[in-house]
Amino acid sequence: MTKLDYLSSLERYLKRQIPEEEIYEIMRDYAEYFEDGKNQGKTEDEISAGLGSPYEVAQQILTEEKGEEPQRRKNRAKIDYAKMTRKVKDLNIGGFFLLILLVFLMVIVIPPLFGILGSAVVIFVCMAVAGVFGLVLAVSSFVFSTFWIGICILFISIFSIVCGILGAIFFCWLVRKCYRYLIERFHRYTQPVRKQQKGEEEHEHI
Amino acid sequence: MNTQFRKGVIEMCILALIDRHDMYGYEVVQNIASYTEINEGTVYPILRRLTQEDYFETYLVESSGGPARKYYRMTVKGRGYLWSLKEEWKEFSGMVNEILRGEDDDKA
Repeated sequence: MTKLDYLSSLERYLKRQIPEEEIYEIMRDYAEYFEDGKNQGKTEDEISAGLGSPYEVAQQILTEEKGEEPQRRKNRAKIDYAKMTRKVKDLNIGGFFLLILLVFLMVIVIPPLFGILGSAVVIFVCMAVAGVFGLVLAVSSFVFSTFWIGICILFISIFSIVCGILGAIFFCWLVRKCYRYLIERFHRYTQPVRKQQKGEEEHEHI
Repeated sequence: MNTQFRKGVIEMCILALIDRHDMYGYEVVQNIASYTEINEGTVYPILRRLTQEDYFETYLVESSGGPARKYYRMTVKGRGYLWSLKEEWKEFSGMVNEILRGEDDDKA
């Protein structure tokens, strides 16, 4: 266990059972102990193991406070607290739920989302195509009918083509961005789980 | 050796060590560990309680490149308590040794 984990666990067990200033003092004492141990060349893990689980130590402290023996469960099995808390933390239950939520979102939300974005692209493309037709119409109206109507149609069609192309490009970009963002998020949530699973396997091999 | 008994004896040992000279927490633990295998985690709570009961005084010594070290020093009250514990121990261990000697004599 790291010094930080140890101390915060210890503090958690003592909180509200002992006055704040005393908890501060206790934390100071154990922090000093870790530092002295490290100066002697011990690792934080070794020091934690030597002290025993934060829970047991907290019970000791509380016992001394009350001046009576703590209630001990009969036939208490020897539990490796350090290993157990590490495993539980690694599981990261919150992250796991988020992962499930994300998968759910991906299945329900993504198809419609991409559908909408895709349709937008199609609409803008149509706009550009319509613009082209309008352009043709304008040119022909120049030839066959009034000048001003021709000019109007000309400008509208040019505008339509430009907007259509820009819009189509924009939505294509948007689709790609969304896709990449979602893939990234998906990886961020699966990677810690995968990494820790790998880490756990390494630990077990040791 | 049962826990209660052991703790009482450890308490006396802690008092005896600090009676020799002022020590800081880690030093106390290392000292006891050099004599016997102990659960390091039990020492600090005992130090804390004995300090609360005014058997020890504490003072901080700044150390370069690290946290200040808290030293424990015996008080007059602490010395008195240690003396009474020593007396109890002498009586108790004397009694036990007598019983054991008696058993050995019977077997001889």
